[in-house]
Order: sequence, then structure tokens, then C-alpha cells
Amino acid sequence: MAEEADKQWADEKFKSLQSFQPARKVDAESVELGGEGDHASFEHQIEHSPKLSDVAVVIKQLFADLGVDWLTKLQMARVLPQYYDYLKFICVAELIRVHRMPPAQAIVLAEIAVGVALDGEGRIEGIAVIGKAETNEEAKAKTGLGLP
Amino acid sequence: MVVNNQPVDQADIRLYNGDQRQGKSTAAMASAVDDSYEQMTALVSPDGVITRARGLVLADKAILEKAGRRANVVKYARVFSDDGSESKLVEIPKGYTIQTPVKIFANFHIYGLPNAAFVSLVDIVENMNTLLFNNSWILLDDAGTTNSRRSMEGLGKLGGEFYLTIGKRHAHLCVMSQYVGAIEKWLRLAQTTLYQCTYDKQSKYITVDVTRRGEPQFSTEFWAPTYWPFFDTDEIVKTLEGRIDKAVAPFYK
Repeated sequence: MAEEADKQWADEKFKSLQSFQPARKVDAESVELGGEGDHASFEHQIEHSPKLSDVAVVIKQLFADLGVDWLTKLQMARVLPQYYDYLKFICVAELIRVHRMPPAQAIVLAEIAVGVALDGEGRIEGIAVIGKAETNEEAKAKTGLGLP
Repeated sequence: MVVNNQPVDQADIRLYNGDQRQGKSTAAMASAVDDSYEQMTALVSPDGVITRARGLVLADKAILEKAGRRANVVKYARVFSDDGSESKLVEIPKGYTIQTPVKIFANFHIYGLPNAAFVSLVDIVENMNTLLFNNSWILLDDAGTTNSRRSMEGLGKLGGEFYLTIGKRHAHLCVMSQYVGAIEKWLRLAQTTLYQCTYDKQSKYITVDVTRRGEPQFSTEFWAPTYWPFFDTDEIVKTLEGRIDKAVAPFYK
């Protein structure tokens, strides 16, 4: 009974606070650019965005975003030890020349990328994570429980 | 996104983060607007004629997709005949408003939505022991209202207690700020989702990177002008009068 009264009070209070003003007119330029076109609403976009799986989250943590797309991807490659120095040199030169990076930063980033990829260490770790996740999923399917 | 009385798996406390003019307010507003339109009960013409209607459901969205249209709850609705026997998927005509049970509280002005109310932090604290904010959206633009440097003021402390009851109220709290560090500490502790916003001037799309409890979830983007009619992107959130008076008082002695 008291709760009903509280609800009623809240409704009346809300009515005293609420005010209706008609929608604003946005400037013509922005509307013309795509206002007549079709755009999905925000919540629809959220519902339909591909969600990162647990594996994807771990992979994202495992391989740092080095700020340069190809350098980040290089971490997943397999670099033979005999080519380590040459590849690092090429990466540093490219980062300094094309990306206008300070030499010290270029050397550190190139070393991270090539180092992680040395002998395919990076991809081996990635595969281990995926393998572990698959084992976990299998165990879940068999027992109906997740591994502790 | 439906506001209702069902138990939720976690409190919905969202932080919208990003530099100035990067679409924080638009993204927060978009969630509230979408929910209002999804739960609409009627369309209201400029002359005041009311037509029974409802927002898009999954089947309607599938029909739109099949017709090569994008599902946009703000643009399309399903209208019903008077006896409810017939219905039709329509594009909402310009100038029409909606009737919706969704309540929105904001510390900036909202346009074109019927159940919107302007509130300041004082209003929130004043009514924190009531059911006023139950099942509603609370949008707080600018960290000015919940500044971490004012944590030890009475408003800051009671505000902190209020944020911890959002789950029990089945409400959605959206706080927009340029810096996470500028937000009241209790809010930072209680937040469940972080929306990092970036606006592209050319395409007018806002990209949102969503992180939940520290783990990156997904990225998505939406067209910002859809939501511009509902609020003024240039509105400055006013600092509470009492605070200004207190700050300048020593200079008038």
C-alpha cells in the first residue's frame, strides 16, 4: 500500500518536472548528406556488431597494438633467426622514412614485432590459447560444466 | 534495450568517454532515444491525432532488411488500425512525435520526446530516497556535476551513494566525460560499461568502442545526425549557482 503511494508520488513528481519541446531542426547540409539515406539506429548496430570472443580478447592482449598496422600483424608471422637482423633493419628504416618516427621509438617497436615473431613464438602462443579454449569448450560440452 | 522490472544481470552504469566534440552526448542520447522509440505506444501527428503504433521488433527489422532498408527505430514504426486487426510498417512522417512510457532525466534539455525532464545533481540527491528515478534513463553530460574534485562535498558523497543503487532502481545511468579521472570516484568504481567515442566529420559517423568491466567487447558505428534533433550539441551544462556564488564570494568582501 505504501509502495503504491510512493509510486503515485513519483509519477506526480515526474509530471511536475517533465516538459515537452518539439524536436530541433538540424541544419540542411547535414540532413542532405545522408538524412534521406538509410542508417541503422545505434542500438540495432550494437546488437549486430560482432562481439569479440574470449579467444579474441586474449589474442588482443597478447599482441600489443604497435600503432602501425603491418607492424602489429608482423607479430603473428614466423621469422627465421638468420633473417632477424635484416628484417629488423628493414622495419626500422621503413618506420623512420615513411612513418616519420624517432629512431629510438622505431628501433624499440621493430624489436618488439620481430622479437615476438622470432621462430613463430607469437603464433605458437596464439595457437596454444585457441587450443586451450577448444579443450575447455569440449569439456563443457561433455560434462555440461566449465573447467574450474 | 528495454527498461522493465525484470532482474538485470548487472547494473547499467555507462561512461561515455572521448575528446570534445567526439560524440559522447550523441551516443548516450542515442541509447535513450532508441529505447523510447522501441517502446512507443502511439504516433502523434502535428495536429494532435493519435495513431496506435509500436516500435520495431525483430520481425519488422527482418522485413526492412529484406527490402534493402536499414533497421532504424527512429525512422520506422508499425501502425495499427483502430480495431487493431490490421497493421502496416511505415516510415514515420516528419513532424510526428511519439507516446512512450520511457522516462528520461537529463542535465541538458531534450527535444521531441514526451517523457523527458531536466534535472541537476541537486534534484537527484533531493529525490534519492524516492522511486522517482526507477525504470528510467539518467543522462549526465559533462563531469561538472559529478566531479572527482568535489567528492568530499555533501553532494558528491550522496551522489556516490545514489550511483550504487542504480541496479536496484532498474535504471540506466549514462555519464559523459572527457576524462575518466574527472569523474566522481564511486561512479568510476560502479561503472560497468565504457563507451569510447570518436566522431568522423566527413561521414558524420560516430565510432564507439565498448569495454565491459575492463574487457574490450566490440566496436560499432552509427550516423550521428539521426539523434541531433533530440538535443542541442552546443548546450553548455550549467554549473550549479550555489557553487559559483561560493567561489566568487571571497572577492566581494
